[in-house]
Amino acid sequence: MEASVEEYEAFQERVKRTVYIDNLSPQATEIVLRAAFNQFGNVVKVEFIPNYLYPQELARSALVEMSTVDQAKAIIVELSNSPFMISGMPRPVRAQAAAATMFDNRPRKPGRNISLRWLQPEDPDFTVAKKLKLMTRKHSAEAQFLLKRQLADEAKLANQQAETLKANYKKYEVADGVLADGTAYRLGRAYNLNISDI
Amino acid sequence: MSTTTDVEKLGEAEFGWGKKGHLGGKNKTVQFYKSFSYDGIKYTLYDCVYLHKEGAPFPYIGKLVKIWENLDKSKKVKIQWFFRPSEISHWLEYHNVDALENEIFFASGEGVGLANVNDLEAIAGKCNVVCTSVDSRNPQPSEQEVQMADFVFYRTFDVGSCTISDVMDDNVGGLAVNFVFNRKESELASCLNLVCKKEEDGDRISGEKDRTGYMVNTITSKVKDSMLQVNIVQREKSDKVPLTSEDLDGMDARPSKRAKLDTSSKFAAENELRKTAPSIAVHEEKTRSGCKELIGMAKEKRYAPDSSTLDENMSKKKKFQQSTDKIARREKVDEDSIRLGDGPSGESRNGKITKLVTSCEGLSKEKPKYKLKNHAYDMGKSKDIHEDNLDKNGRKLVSHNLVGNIAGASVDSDEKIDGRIFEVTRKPDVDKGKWFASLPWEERMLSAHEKRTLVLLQNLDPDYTSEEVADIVWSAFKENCEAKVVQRTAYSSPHSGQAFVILKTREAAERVIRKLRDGCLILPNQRSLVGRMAVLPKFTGKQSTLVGHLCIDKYKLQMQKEMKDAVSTSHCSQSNTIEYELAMDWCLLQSRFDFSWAALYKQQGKELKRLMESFKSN
Repeated sequence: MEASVEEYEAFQERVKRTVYIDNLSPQATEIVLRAAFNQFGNVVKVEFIPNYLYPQELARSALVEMSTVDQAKAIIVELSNSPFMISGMPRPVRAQAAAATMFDNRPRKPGRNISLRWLQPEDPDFTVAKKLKLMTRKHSAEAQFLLKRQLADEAKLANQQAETLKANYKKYEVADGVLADGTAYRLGRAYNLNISDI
Repeated sequence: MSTTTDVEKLGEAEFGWGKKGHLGGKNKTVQFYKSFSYDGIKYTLYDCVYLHKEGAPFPYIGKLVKIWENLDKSKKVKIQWFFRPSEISHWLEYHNVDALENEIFFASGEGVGLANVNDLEAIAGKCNVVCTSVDSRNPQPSEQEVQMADFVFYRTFDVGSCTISDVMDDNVGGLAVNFVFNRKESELASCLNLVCKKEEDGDRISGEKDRTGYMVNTITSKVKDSMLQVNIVQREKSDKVPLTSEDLDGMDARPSKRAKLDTSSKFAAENELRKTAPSIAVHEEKTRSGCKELIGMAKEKRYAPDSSTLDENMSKKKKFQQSTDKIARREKVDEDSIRLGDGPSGESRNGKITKLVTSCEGLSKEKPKYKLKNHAYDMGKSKDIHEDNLDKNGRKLVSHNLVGNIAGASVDSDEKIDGRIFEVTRKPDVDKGKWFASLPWEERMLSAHEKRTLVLLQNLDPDYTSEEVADIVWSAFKENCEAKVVQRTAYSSPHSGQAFVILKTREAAERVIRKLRDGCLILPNQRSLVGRMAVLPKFTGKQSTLVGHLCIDKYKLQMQKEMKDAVSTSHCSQSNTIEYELAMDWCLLQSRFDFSWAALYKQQGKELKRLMESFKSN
């Protein structure tokens, strides 16, 4: 039962071999992630981090455990150098080194004792503790707000890009179209240009 | 205590085969038997037995469905299991089934958990299980029999479909139904002393003695065998040693009688307890050293299970709120008695007895319910003590008792808040013995959210594990709970860890929140715990794509197909494409927000630090 020191060390080693991936599409399943990261080495385990607190539109994140520390590092370097896309584009995924606190089933830190204390209302620290509680709430609200902002900005960028893409696509389609129906040739002849080079 | 020595020692215990059955197996190498005696107890096919498993909080209960000896002389038994409600609690909850206090469920169907082959030596004693099924094929038990039973059952738990049924088919999980039901009278008579006592005369005390009597030889030998057997069924153990000392007898019988009879009267039970407590205390004075200490120990054990039974009775009345506590307490006691037995030194045992006395004295003054909790709580802690240096014992004990008292007090009156520091102790494992995968956390959390028993704790140390959070809740509120820390992501605050806690009842959840709101629970590093009802975001169905993943309508179908076949699901973008340009936009946005997050948390860290500095007690 007692998380032994070795067990904890083994866990810490596991953390080092693991990469935290986020900005994942819901379509990126474990199979997809395995296929994607097997390019960098050997995927040992893929674990999604559930999101219970934040809105559902938040991108998913996962922990990908590789077989060696070097492979994990390589992923982080590679993904920060060039945008890497999984199950969709153009929004790339992001890789960071994993932290122990990202894991769901982590062993207890050996030898940690937690002591608790109920403050009495007459205790001079009572008001401070109360303020602290308020601050905790405030901070979490702030974080929620920032997250909301981020999601809004993401949506905005996505829309913008969709427009750009549509416009670009239209342009190419028109170009294709004039070539296909012979308009380009006719115009070329009229201006004495050789279209077949294009 | 290694397992191998365990087995060896057990091997030395008295053993003898009984009636032979047929030969079986390949080449007829397996000899089946219909009965055997082990450690002085005669077991017959289809008896119900306790099985001990290392690390399990309770002994398992099962029915002997096959007994045989292999060619290599290894003795095996096939056991079809009974389930305690706690083992299948999730399914009970799922099917909305209430279980009786001492009800167990017989395994049926097919699948994992139905039956196992075990070493015969794993049998830890006989268990008196009575079938109360109203089925006409079942020889109906008398009321007395039912009362005497350690456990009753009338329902089955299908291990395949995880359903509960009170209808017995002709064949229950491969066992003919007449072996499931109670034995007919004729069989009964030949059966066992344990059951004999039922037929005597209803005098519970003498019955109890009888039972202890028949167990004595077993046990004394076991005691000699040092404490190996301690792991064995607690009931058996507590029965055994008292008989070695006459003066214990009366006392020995009394609590158990009370525990079983007094289901109705709380006050009577209370009185009884008052009587018991001082007598233990007195006795403790006498038993300072030598083998007497052993007796004291036994009594402690004796007392321990009873107090939990008593608690059980009371919790019947408060079943809704308390039933889980009860299990918790009982398990604590279990653990304790195991520990006691293991104790390498008399000193630590002594210490424990003293502790027990302290809590017992408290008992006689206060309402038993809280105190008992307290008591069990202390016992749980003796584990820690045990691991510690002996010379530390004294001090530790004091502080632990203190802890218990504080904790007890906080249960006692909601508003009473103490300023003393207490350590977080391990929560007793209630849902141990998980035969079946419980419902996934997500479902349990959602249902708890609906029932408003889901609490979100904030301002925890992000380093804490889920178990530690559960332990904190247990230590601070004496509430059993399931906890899950919110896993850190790129957006999580480095200052404040969060955790979901599922409490057993809505009242408990509200109480926890109220106490956290009105009082201040200080964790290490001056963290003041914040609790509130968790509000989960609405689940608006599965999202199909991620914001920012674009697709040209015309190719949508093709892409979806590719994705399904996982043909091209990932790639690095080349720098001469539109895609790359767009991806760069995303990277830019991401880093912009990364900075925002970093700045936000840095700012918050500063604010926290400033506030922390105003803590006087620093």
